[in-house]
Amino acid sequence: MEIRHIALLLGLSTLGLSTLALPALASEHTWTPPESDCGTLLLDLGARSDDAFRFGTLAGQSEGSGGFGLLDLLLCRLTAPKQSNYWRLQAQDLGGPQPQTELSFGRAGRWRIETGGGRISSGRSTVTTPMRTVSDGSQGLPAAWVPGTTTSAMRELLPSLVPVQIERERERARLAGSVVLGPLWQIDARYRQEHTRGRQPFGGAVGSTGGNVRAIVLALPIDQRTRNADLGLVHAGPRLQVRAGLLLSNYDNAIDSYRWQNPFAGVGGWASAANSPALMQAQPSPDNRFQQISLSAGNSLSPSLRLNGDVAFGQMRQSQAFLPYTKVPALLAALSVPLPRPDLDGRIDTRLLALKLAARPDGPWQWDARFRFDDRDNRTPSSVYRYIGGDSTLQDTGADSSRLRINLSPSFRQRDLALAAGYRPSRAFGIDVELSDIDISRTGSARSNSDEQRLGLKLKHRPSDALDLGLRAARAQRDGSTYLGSRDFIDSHSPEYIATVPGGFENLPGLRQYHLADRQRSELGAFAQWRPKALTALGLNYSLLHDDYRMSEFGLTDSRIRSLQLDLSQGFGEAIWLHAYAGREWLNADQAGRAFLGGPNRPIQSVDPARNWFVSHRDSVDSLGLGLAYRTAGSPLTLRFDLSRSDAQGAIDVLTGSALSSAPLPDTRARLTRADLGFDYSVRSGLQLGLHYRLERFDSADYAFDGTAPNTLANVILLGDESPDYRAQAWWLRVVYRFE
Amino acid sequence: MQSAEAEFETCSSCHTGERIDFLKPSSHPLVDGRMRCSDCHAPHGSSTPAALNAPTLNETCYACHAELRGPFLWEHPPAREDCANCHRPHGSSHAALLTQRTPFLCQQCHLAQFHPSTALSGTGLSGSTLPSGSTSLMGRDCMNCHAQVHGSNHPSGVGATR
Repeated sequence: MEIRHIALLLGLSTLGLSTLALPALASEHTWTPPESDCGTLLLDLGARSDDAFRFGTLAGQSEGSGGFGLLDLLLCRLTAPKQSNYWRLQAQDLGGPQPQTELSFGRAGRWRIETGGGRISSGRSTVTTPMRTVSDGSQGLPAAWVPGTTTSAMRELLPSLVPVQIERERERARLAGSVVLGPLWQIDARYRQEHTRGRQPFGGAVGSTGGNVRAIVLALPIDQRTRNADLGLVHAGPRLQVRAGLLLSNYDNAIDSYRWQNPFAGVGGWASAANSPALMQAQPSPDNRFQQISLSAGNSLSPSLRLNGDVAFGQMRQSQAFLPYTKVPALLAALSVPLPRPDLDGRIDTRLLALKLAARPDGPWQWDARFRFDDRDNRTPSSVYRYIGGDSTLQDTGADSSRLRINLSPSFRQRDLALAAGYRPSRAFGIDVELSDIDISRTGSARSNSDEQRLGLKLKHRPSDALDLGLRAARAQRDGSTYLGSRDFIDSHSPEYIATVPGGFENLPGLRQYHLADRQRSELGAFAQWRPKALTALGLNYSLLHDDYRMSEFGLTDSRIRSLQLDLSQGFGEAIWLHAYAGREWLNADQAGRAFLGGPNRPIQSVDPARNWFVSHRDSVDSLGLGLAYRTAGSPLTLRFDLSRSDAQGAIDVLTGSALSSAPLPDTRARLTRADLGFDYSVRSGLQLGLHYRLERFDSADYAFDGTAPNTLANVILLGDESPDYRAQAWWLRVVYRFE
Repeated sequence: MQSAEAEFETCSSCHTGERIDFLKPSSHPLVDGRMRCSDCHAPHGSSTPAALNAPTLNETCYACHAELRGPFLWEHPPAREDCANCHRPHGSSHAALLTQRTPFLCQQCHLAQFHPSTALSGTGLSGSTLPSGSTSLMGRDCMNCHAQVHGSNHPSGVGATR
């Protein structure tokens, strides 16, 4: 085996259709050297605009113009050619916000070790908050803070605002290896660690008495690690292939609690001890772990019959110590009923069995039979909790209290059966039919059993070497056991409390949650690929997914997603390639509800059709891409231009019954345009110079954020974040040096 | 083995719908080469319907989003059952890869008395006189208060507020 082939992990040595398939991709900073470029150094030096990028390799930099430098390096060598020993080192984007490195070495056909890592950034956005991070990690208000029942009384709110950056940054490291034990056996092992840091928005609710909830949206730190280890033993015989695996996964959150000072005070129904500046407390995601053993096997029972099977047993555990019911000392001291247990001792046992029998006999017929069993048995203990609403009230110990709650531990079991048959009398024609049945059982759910049958059909036809046609259609029907919408409400409260609730329901009885509801699904798809000339290819794709929830009085009642795409690839000689695509997606959905209040209004309003409302969502996404490349053998010049545009528009129509009032909502929009333009020129053998430009334009309109400030709402202090509107640009000089 | 970009180009040359999803404003960063199709999918097949690497969709998601794995004291059952109940894994025109804009997505399953069942429309927008506007419509809408939508482990986190 030619070792340089191993080193050629980047693989795009020629410009063909596939390399042009995605405008706006290949001109990322990452580059794909030809086979001979095992020793390559690439340096980008450039400048960028005030606005920061939120996508691509430059995302994660702070706002503000300035210079930047990125370094790529690829080295690979045979250390002992006759023994096939090798090593390979690749680094990308060193000096940038998202560097990546990879090192691999080994002996071809015997063993291999890979290690590497990198950083991924979500991009940064700036928000404002009156909160400051205190030395103990909590979020504190400025000393001069003036609390109030609403934001209008907080006269220090706007003067005290400070900027904070929202960002999620993942640092990844991995180590993997494999050893060939013999002609048929191999061991492989992988370890991956991910450290996520940054800040995220978090709605910090305060109080929850009788609709008097107050909240402040906080920008809270993230500091968490996930470690995954996977060990496998592989047997690859001529007829039997087996992999036995062990997966260990551990999640560790360095932040055990979120604490913040209450900015509100004097709200009716609150205990006085909860008023500002009392500390509130929430719990971020708790530490957890997951283990799984698995066995996957495939066996050729005969030359035309093959059996594949997977079996896996896993367990999710979580036992982080509970935080107290409340952080407010006076409320904590007044507790009369303690926590029922020190931690959850959460446990979910997972079991999977999947079997597939596939027949490919000589002749035009083929068939498959599949069985799948996915069981998630939640063995987490249920207990009675008497919670404190929003750190703001004394504990209510009455048997008929709404604050007596029992945690439910939902379990899930899914069984799939499928039979498929295909008829392919020639390479020019094929038809496939599949019949499947999905049966789901749940606990603690409004629907303990649901069942869905689906019939699908696929047709493929090649009338000529230049034309491929395809059609697919499917129909599925889902129903199930009697829908008991109040089951989880009843199961999680005391009977004494339920007896006090008129009608005994929480959600409207006519509501059908869409993932449980009766559903009639229709799918349709069609495609055509036409290659009228050697250097020309045209593609057309259409798809429809329609979900009809006609049995749902309230909730999602209809969903219809359609898309149409056109693709063009055109070569102009061997040197110039053009690829373009355009598409539109329509996403329509309808939902219904009925507005009702509590107390004496509840029995009347909950059955009053004049209080019905209907929402129609009419969203669309227009996509456009264009890629143009010039490159020819022997020419020192390469050119590239890539453009992509995604334009998402949303329209919401709200209709209400005569007892309600409504007003139009503004349309929403999110439009992202990305463009890359550049050329490279070989000034001599081994040395290439280039000039590149990048644009990222994002403009959007969102009524929920635009024009808002932390004091916009009366009961919630917002972060004052706007929907994105920026134009980030960068240009850079590129030097590529290749050496032996 | 291909580079991440080349792998994406190879896959998306046929999976054109996914290509468009990944170019949407809310999407996983495959276009940028920071993720690979093969991070989630087994290109040569697996026992899952979408040829996923892990036995289930949720376990695939938990590989990178282990903070959502739990188990939690107060579970959100649709999230425990199937992440795709609320999220489109490749890309969406709505924030956080959601299938629908909030708060309307939440109201497709939650229609209780008072604010969950309120008819939310332009009457809830903020006006020129402050403060004004609906807490359930503006800003992070439901998540202004119900931040722990994937589940809470706080003993007082019943309503996903802790």
